[in-house]
Amino acid sequence: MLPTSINIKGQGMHGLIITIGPGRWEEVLAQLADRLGAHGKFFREASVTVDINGRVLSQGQLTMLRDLLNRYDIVLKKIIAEAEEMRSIARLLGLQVAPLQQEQQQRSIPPTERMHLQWGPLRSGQQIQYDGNVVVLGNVHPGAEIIASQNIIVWGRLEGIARAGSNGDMSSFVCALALQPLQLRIGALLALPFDKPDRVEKEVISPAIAFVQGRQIIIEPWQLHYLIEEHKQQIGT
Amino acid sequence: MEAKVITVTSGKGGVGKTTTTAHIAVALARHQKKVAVIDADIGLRNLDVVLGLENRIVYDLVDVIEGRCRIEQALVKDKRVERLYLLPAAQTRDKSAVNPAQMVALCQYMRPHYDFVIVDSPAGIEQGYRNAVAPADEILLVTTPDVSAVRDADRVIGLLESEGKNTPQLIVNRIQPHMIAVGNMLNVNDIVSALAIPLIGVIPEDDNILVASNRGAPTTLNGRSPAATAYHNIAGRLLGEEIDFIDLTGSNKLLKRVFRIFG
Repeated sequence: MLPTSINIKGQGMHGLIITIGPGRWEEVLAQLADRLGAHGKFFREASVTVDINGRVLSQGQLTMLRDLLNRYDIVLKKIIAEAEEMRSIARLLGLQVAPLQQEQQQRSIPPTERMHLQWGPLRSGQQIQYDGNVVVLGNVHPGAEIIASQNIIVWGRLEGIARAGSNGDMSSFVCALALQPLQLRIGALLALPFDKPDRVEKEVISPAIAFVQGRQIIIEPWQLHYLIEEHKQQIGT
Repeated sequence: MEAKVITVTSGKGGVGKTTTTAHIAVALARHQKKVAVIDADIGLRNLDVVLGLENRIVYDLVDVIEGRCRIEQALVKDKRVERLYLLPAAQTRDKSAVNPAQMVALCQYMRPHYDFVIVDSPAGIEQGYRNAVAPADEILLVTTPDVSAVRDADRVIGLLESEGKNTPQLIVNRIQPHMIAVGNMLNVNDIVSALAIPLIGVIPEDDNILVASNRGAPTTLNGRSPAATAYHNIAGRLLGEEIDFIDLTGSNKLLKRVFRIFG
């Protein structure tokens, strides 16, 4: 499990963010040195934010980190710390102190409660993948794809591919103002739309919900008195 | 002068990018604007043929980029309409001969000398497309009333969005009102609502266009065909004029009027 405790990733405008997992500080620094060494000059002149996983380090330990990064031409700019003690030590070394990143705050929320809000339209070739619920305000065009570990809610026309419960959660649902997906998956189940009749005289479109009942995906018109919780109890998930 | 750079693109091939580029360029030139058109379809050049300037090419886009000549030497001046210039594509090379940064630099150099620089993009979403789109201030997205062209257009809009480009404006080409009337063709409203971008032109299917392309004489030069009018309208809208759209919905006007009276 050695290399997994350090995570280096690019962060748009803010340069790099290095997350250091649990472990003895000296060992962790040695691992970090290996990682940076392996990437050669790739991170050169980057400025980084380091998440020290809630540790409270001494000034000496923090200096070790800064010097290590310096050796690879990386500037330590910011420390993510919670404890006030740690924050003041970081400030002593002239570092910025950031509160917990929003993403991390999100991480503490269970996926069932987590939500990603996306403004539409979501166009062909665009994809959203999220560990939680996805809400789209706007249409989802054919060729677009939404993959959510929980539910998918589209306030608009869903014509792309929707995959709810991507981690296997069969109690997930997909609902949309117009539910006309190219393909719909819930958990391990797959539903394809009916073949379109040659000519649709006047399409009647109403909000609908797709869910699993037995081993089948059912699509039902949305009722005003519809209660999801009640429904979930009914289907016994 | 500070030219506006307009790129004509589509995703799908064969929907009429080159024809549209040629006709709009001619129409703008006839509106007393100084226009340069750049054929970015390196290796499959056509714009010179449609404009009827094929036999006057000496240097091309790649010669300019690689420094074998000055831009002024490569530009072919149209003799029928003043203020229209073509920078032709190279025929013996491919898309990799040019990169997006070079296209931006080229257009930057041309900007002070023209009112409009119009770039004709190749089909696809690869390097040739990226070259064509890189310098654009505005993008005209051409589609035809068929599902695959509309899907490809949607994909291109998404790509442009992710590159931070302005929202493109839509041209629906080759509309056949009689087919729409009987419900056998997507109508313009369907396409506009499917793509959710502003419409700048609707071009009717017009036999004159094929003849004009083969002859190298765009109908906007002097023609009064339905398509020529539609292209002139696009040019007018690009110049900021408010021009009503020609009704090509194929709907029964009389019936509409009756409904209006009673509705």
